[in-house]
Amino acid sequence: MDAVSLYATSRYPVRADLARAHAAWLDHVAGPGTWWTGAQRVAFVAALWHALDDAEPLLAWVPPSTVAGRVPTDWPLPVAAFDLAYRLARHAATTTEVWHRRMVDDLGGEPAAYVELAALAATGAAVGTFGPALGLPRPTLSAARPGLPDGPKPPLSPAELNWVPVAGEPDATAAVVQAFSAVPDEFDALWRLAEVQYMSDVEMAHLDWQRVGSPLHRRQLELVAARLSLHRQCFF
Amino acid sequence: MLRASANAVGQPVDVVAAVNGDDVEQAVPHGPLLVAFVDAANGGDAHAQERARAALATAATTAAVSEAAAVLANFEMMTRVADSTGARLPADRLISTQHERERLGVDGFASAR
Repeated sequence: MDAVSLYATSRYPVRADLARAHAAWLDHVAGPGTWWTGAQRVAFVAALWHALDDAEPLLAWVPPSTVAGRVPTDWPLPVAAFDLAYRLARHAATTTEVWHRRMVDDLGGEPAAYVELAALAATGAAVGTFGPALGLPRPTLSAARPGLPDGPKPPLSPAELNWVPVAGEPDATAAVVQAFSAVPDEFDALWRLAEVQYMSDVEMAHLDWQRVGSPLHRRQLELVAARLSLHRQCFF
Repeated sequence: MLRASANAVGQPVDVVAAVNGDDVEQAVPHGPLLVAFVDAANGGDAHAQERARAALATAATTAAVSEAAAVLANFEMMTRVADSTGARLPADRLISTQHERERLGVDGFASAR
């Protein structure tokens, strides 16, 4: 879906840079990643969005793979990835370090492969909730492109501020900043979205910053952020 | 960030009151409407969602609705960044936010680590 048509039916004007970023993200998901193919990435985000719409969500400790008929028969990833999509869609605040370690093992034992899927869940939650918040349907996921995973794989180190390993000097930046550094392509995708949805890291330092043309002041943005974080029961 | 950004423009705000949707109009213009917008988006009632959008658009502008939706989407993202990777606050932030965390009940969240 191109950027022009993505939110064209909205009754509320959507900035062109935001529509372009969401369209670019849809294209990004459809290509091969660092650890997963385009088909696997698209299926993962589709499962995440389906979970967001689940009218009768499972309890946090019930993996959907244990419920008959929940996992599609043609699911192209390890079954654990379906449970991961569901948990991060519906019950992200209930994750634990033990759960994370088990998930990494069940996905094949590579921590960065978990990071790539976690990043798709986070960015997918953004693109998947923006339209519905305006009363619009979700965008359509792009068709997967062929090819093998081949993104950059930087050397990683354990971090004190995260369960996941990170690239670069550990804990030199905030935990949410270094969180997805193990998979640079997903790190970049996340911050491209953050710049247009919220603000850049440079702008964040200016506490009275206001986007040119936006009717909302910084403190109004922060109120929305705080209230949403409260809904998500996010301690961080 | 809410407290800091309000202080930056000389409009100190009771963060807990604002986040709970109390009327702090002077410090955060349209604050209750923004809180109602977020609450409605997190509920399953399409009519309530439309009412919240319409109220915000009438009081502010139609662009305020899409800008609020963008921030909402961003924090649907950032909360999952934190929770999927076990993000922890450094010690100095734990100290500086202790009072608000206690008042909001944040320390009782499952995600507290």
